[in-house]
Amino acid sequence: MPTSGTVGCAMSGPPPEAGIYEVFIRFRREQPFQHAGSVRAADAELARRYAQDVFLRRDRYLEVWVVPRECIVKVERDPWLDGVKFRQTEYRRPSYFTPRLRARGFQKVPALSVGEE
Amino acid sequence: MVGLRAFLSAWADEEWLFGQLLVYRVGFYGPDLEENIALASLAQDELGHAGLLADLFLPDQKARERHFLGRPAEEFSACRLVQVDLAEDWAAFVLRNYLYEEAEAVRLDWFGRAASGMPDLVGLMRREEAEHLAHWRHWVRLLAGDGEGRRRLIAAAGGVAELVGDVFYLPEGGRPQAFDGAELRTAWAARVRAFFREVGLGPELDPLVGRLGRPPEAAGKHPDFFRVVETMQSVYRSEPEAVTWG
Amino acid sequence: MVSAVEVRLPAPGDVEAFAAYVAAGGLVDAGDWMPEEYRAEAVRIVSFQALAEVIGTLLFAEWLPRIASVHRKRILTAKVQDETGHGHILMRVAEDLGLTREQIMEEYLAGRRKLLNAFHYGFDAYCELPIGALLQNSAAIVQFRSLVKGSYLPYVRALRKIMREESFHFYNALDWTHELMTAGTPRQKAEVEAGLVKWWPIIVAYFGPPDAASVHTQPAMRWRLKVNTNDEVRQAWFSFIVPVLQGLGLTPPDPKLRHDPELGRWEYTEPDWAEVRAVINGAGPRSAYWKELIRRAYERDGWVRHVRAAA
Repeated sequence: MPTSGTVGCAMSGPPPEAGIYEVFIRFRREQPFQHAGSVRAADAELARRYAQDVFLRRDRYLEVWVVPRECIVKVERDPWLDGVKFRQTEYRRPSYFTPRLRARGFQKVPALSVGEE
Repeated sequence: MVGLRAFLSAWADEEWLFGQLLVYRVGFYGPDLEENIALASLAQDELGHAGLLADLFLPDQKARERHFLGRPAEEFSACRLVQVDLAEDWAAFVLRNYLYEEAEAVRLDWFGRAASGMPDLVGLMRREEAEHLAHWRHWVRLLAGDGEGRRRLIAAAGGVAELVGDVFYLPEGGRPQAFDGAELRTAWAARVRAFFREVGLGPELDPLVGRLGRPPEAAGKHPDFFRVVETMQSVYRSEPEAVTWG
Repeated sequence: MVSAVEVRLPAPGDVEAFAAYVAAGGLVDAGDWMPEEYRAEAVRIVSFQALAEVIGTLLFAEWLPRIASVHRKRILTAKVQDETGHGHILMRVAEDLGLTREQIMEEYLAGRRKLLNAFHYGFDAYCELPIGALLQNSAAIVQFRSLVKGSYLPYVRALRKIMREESFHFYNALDWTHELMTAGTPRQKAEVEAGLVKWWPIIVAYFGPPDAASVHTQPAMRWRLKVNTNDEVRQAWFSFIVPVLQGLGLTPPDPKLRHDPELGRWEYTEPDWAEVRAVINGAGPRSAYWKELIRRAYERDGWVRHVRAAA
């Protein structure tokens, strides 16, 4: 059995990435999940337990998802999408059309209360 | 740069037609819903590129419209690879699209070096074409690794090989001085050969790769092309006095 | 909207408590226990719309290669992409309720699944597209505004995304129609007007038959999967679309159409419901054509759906 002072021992240094679980919580039925943070645990059952102890001591909640970090496929934030790409794709947003309609003299462009941009 | 206009015009034509050929595919169910949605993004990008390129030599919007929707088929300067609708054969479609995007990467490399002063346009196109190339490479890889997919890719290679001869061809007097079509095709063939090896598509596709490496040759318009253009232009041309089609 | 934190969730198996929960405004999510009758009704409604979205793309996709303007071509490609996306998101909701997209498509191809009336037709002329889209999109928006108040949360979430995109479609249709009506040739304008004459009765019928006396005891209403009747939604659509058409210089082709301020409702010519039923049962001008188009693509490309990444 390795002792904690042994060089190269498996018990020294941080444990591997596996064992990190991201925690997502939905507080109310009509709300989306929120990323609350993460816990480190030996298995999913413990992660589930830890998620409640760490993040939910004072809240009523609806649902919790505990996901192994290595199962998450991340899509990196890309500033290009906010800049050049966003400008290039104005043609598929509702706001593209209102100036055209107004310039042509269309009276009373209807407001759509859902999805208007 | 002398001859750049001919180069840009051919490039714009090819992006426009490639967008059109992707648009055909959007009209079918599938192959699955997710892929159809992804395809439609690629189609919009290509149509957008065509507009941006045409804007360099035709700044007037109506003139650009006439350029793409009003010119006779004979006047288009586009390689055979994007003259033919292959939407009904997913394997052939994937193979053609992959080859075109690989050529596009080579073209963009050349253009980026040869024509400074257009960094925004080049940056945008590089960005999007890199995603497109990754998408079609992924499909080639997927099909190559699947029994049925591999069989169909190889079956499609012969027909697609007939379409590659005039990629990077530009007529004498209509090409930039620094533009060497044969050199570009050599680079193209090298990229394709390396990728085919990587995904386990070896000897069966050597004839196709061999053709990529040969110098570009002039080719007449493919018989299917006239139908493609006619479809694309029939409404626009139906009323010459129309000021707008909306 | 009542949240589940305030209203007690029914215990699994307690149908009466579930009914009371839903009637009080409670929301049901994927994975919640639900009575089989609720699940069946939810999946019926969702899959009906999923199929409609998929077939609906064909009407526009047919014209996509022929769009006569550079910028409108990209816009229409984005619209068709959205509609495919609507089909997709609803197929996913149905799949989580136990019905796959293959089952839905194959039932349709086998004649065991009905398609709403509007998509048994096609666009026969170019300038029919903008006005057809205007009527279709406005009807969809008004209807979804009602359905989004329903009890099945995955469907509600899907509808929220769908509505954002429908508003883009509506504004595009409005802009396109307006351009043609202000700057079009006499022939183009006539084509728009003919399109209105053709599509108006189809969309009036799209909202479904008039409310029977028993409407509020129908499963969809009982389970709050629908919260408004067909007639209520149709009336809301008249109020929305008539001023829009007037702004375009267009008149709804129904001489009987008028708003009665005392009754607070629109009078209109009832569609020929026998004809509508016949169309839904396959007698529409494009009933067989769209089905055949789907069948060809679906069968031909089946092998692609079975491709799996090499291990």
